[in-house]
Amino acid sequence: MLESGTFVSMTAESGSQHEATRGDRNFVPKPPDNPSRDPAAEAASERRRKGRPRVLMANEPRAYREGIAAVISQLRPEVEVKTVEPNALDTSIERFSPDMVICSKATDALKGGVRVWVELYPENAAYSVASIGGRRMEYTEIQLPDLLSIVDKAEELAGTN
Amino acid sequence: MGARRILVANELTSYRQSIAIVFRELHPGVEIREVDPEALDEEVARLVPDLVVCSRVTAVVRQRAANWIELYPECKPFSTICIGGEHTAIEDIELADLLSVCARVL
Repeated sequence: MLESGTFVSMTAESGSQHEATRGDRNFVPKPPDNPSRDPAAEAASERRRKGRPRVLMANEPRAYREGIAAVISQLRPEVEVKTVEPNALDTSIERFSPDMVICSKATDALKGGVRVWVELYPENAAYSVASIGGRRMEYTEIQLPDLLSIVDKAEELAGTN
Repeated sequence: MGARRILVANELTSYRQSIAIVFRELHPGVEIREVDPEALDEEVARLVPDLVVCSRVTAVVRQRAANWIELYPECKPFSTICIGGEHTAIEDIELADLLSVCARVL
């Protein structure tokens, strides 16, 4: 069952965390601890320390970003999920070094730096595009199980590194 | 008191599915019904849910549902919450807001 801990296990930055005054329960994602002055070093250090596959969520709008992140955190507890604002995508890729990204608009930094990504409903259309280890997939109407399957693929690919 | 029901009928599919899963997990005693937006009016009339989540509130929803959330209509960042006839507009609504509404109406 989802508990508040599931939600606070997600981390959020770049302004996506809000004051815990808008809900009866505290489901607000917790910001990262001790933000580093050296993003690359922090990413490398955290990866060594945790060794968990990482999924970066930067799609919009917010409630759906948070909802999908909560579901991934719950159903794939071995995966570390971080949510950021879409405009923080490129800097977060550098900082977080994700194994997979879900966003609304794929950027050059994403395409060049992340092996697995999903461009979810670009321009609010029903179709989506994924890249899994360089293989392009198109979905006319992607389902949540499809996203979870892609998370699993990203985890596999991360394990082969 | 009868069975509590939430009808989740927002667009797009994976969004709807994720919201429904979160609701189910947090409210295991509540019937969470997930339907396509096209079936919204029919299901509202049939189920008379305690809460409706949709992307475009309809006349049937306004008439038959005491509580509803119009989530990102026309993909705009503004959402509307109606609880017992009281409307609140929210910009950039959060998942926590949705859960708060559930907690209030159930």
